[in-house]
Amino acid sequence: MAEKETPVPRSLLGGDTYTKAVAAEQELRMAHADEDLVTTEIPEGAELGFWKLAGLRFLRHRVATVSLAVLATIAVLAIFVPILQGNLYRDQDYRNGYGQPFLFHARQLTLPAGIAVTVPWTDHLLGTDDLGRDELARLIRGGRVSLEVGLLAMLGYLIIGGSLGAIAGYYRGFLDNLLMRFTDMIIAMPFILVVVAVTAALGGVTLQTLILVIAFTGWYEIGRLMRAQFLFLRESEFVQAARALGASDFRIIFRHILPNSLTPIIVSATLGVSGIILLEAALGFLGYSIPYPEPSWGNMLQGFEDKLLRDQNYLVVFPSLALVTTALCINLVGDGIRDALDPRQR
Amino acid sequence: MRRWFVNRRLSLGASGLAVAGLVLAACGTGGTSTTVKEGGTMTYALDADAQTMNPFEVSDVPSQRAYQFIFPNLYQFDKNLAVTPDLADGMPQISADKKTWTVKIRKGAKWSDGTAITATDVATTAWIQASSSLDTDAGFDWSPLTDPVKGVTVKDENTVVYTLTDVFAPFLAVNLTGFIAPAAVYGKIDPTKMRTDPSNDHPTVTGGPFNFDKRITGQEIDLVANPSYYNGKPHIAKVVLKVITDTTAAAQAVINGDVNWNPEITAAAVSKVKAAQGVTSYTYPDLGYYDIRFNDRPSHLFGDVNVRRAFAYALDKDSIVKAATDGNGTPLNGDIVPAMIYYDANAVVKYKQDIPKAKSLMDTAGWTVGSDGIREKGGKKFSAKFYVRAGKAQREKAVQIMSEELRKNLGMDLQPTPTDFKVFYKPIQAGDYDLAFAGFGINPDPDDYLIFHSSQIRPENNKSGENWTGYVNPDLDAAILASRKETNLEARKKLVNKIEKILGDNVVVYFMWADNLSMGFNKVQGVVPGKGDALNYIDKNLNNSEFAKFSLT
Repeated sequence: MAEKETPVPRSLLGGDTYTKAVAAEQELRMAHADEDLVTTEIPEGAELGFWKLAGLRFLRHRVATVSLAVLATIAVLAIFVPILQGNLYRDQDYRNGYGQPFLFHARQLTLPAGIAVTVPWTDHLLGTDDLGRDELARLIRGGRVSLEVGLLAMLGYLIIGGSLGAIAGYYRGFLDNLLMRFTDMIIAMPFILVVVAVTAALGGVTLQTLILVIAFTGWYEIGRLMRAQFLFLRESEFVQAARALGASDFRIIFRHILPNSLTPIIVSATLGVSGIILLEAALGFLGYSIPYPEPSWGNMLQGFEDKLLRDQNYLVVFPSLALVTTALCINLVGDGIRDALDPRQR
Repeated sequence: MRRWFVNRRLSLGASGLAVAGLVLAACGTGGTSTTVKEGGTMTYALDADAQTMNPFEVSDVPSQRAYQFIFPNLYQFDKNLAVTPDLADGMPQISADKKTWTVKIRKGAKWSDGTAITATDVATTAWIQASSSLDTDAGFDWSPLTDPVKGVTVKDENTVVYTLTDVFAPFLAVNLTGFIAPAAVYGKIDPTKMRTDPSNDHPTVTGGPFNFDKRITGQEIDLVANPSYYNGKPHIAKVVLKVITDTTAAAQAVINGDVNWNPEITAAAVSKVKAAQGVTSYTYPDLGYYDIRFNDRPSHLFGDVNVRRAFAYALDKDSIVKAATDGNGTPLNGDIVPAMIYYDANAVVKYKQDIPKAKSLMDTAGWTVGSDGIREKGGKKFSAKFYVRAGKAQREKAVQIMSEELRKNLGMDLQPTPTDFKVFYKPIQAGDYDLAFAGFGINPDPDDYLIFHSSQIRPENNKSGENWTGYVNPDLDAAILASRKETNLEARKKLVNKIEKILGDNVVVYFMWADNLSMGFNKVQGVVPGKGDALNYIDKNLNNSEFAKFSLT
């Protein structure tokens, strides 16, 4: 069959040199793959060696390591602190809104030994918002929403985009064409309008619908990347060898192609999480994220002009800082992972 | 026919005659500058693009603000909200039985194409509005007429006669104060196709102080002075209605002088605008109010009056209003707002916050506190969606405060549900809701028929009714009907107060507040405020003849 070969979009693979490097790596593994089939057993050490090496390379990347530590701290805070704080994030003191941040007052504390000490104390470290709710508690709880949306929507991207991309790339032909046109359709969809329409149809947004809408409309990048990987790898010699030896499609896809196509997907997925977090913030800012009283960094920024006009700048600064820090850390970690998985560094 | 709306237009009644008779001639101080500059361009801030410039189709405030410059009114409101003639020649002649109203049209008034404005235009406007086949979202109520067509007759070129089925006190203020459109243009459009007529974007024939010039969709609407305007050619040569959706930017624009007139300054910017050099600003009570519409049907959560009273006793309304509006709202306990002469803060039922009483009322109603702190009855949780329009900061804030207070103090689980305007009214109109935060624009004279009379309950009694509460009370119905027929101001005030008392006693709805609005002008003179700086009358097409008197400095 004279089938037109779809060229691999090089840019998606991180440039020519990167492609070559990946190919070199794959050649190396191809040798292993052949051995596998002969010896019927995959030498575990070889796989571990790659990931272990990558891990070591990541840890050598200081900026990425620090970013990961910051992210981990944010994640741990976001997961556990709200459990301890209970309803603090929604407890109002609406008659006395806009409590200023970093206001300390002296407080007498009695230590166990009966010694009285005076310490600087604050009830609301980062102040309170317009309804008198603790800003710090809301920031931390908002982080939980942001991370949840980021990670779960990315999982959706991987499941939808990954499987559609893999099918398109592996089977090519009509199926590929069909799926790619479907992808074009998804790309062409005005995302914000879809969100508004879904919100209108369902009479409000919930966390689940938000995650689903983001996942269903944003998977195309992962999908195309996956397809490119599959198109590229299915023609490689180790796959052809496997096919010649009678391996089933299932085995070829999951045993041979998928593990070899993961590197760029992992990098893209990591970087994508920060994109989703910012997207959620944008939606929240427009009033299309989860409904109050549940905070998210996006909906905490809603009406920011009002806050600036009232000179309550801290209510804009804190959520923005949280967003920027998180997105930056994720991107730096993503960079670190890319460097770690890039064989050029070996 | 005048329409009123904040997020929903509603025609409420008004006894125009009574108003006209009562209002004192206030001593105006402004607008007497000796040097009036001719010409120049006045820029006006619109907070959204006009949906249409066909007055028969207007159901949103930006569109109303756009068309107010270009179509004449039959009668209009003066600075004290008394009805005065505009296109009409004198006040209407009313027959002894008060059922026949004869209106003279002034001679010599012309449309922009040079043809005379006649009684046919006035009658045709009413016929189109009253037509049951008119495709529109605008609310026109010509039900007081004996017949939509036979009830309005052209006696001669300058005389129109209206025949009413029954005495209708607010007829002048409600039905005769609206726009008049050219019969030669709009009379030829099939009412069923009015919504999509090509001229809706660019009106061809107009007769107000300004004529339509051109429009850049989404950006601006340009108007030019009407040289043959029947009240005299305007001093200002051009008006540019600039679409500035960002309310902060619009406030900044009037401070900088990029905009000469900002009709609605966002609450957060009011103090900055007031302090700005060269800006004249006015703050005054709005002709509109906000309330919580309950679904009072017995099968719903708020169907029991004890539950509604508990709701009222559990809240500290004054503090909530203060927090939600930054002090720019007047707490209300009835639907008569401070801008109206009927306003009487002592005639209404007030519920002072009393949480123990609220709790015992809930117990009486059979709702007991469950293990999670939420009340329940027969295995059903007291849980409901609390609808509010998305993007309306003050309302959303009020809803957030109330739902949290009611959860904590009373064990009601009311989830704030911000909803887009396009679908906001769907569940409410279907009677399938529990409570919603609603906003209403009102006529200077009160008429609660459309929103509280049981014949207007939607969907049960009237498919396009505006009474969503489902509340039925023969005493209320009787008081509303009596108030519509009473033309004596003092007697009518008593009936209005009676209605307010019934509404308050039964907490048919929970009234929230009336806005205090702010307008800002930069380099504009000739603006004459009414009592308490009121500028209601020059907004939303209540009186466009004033625009001809404005000039630039």
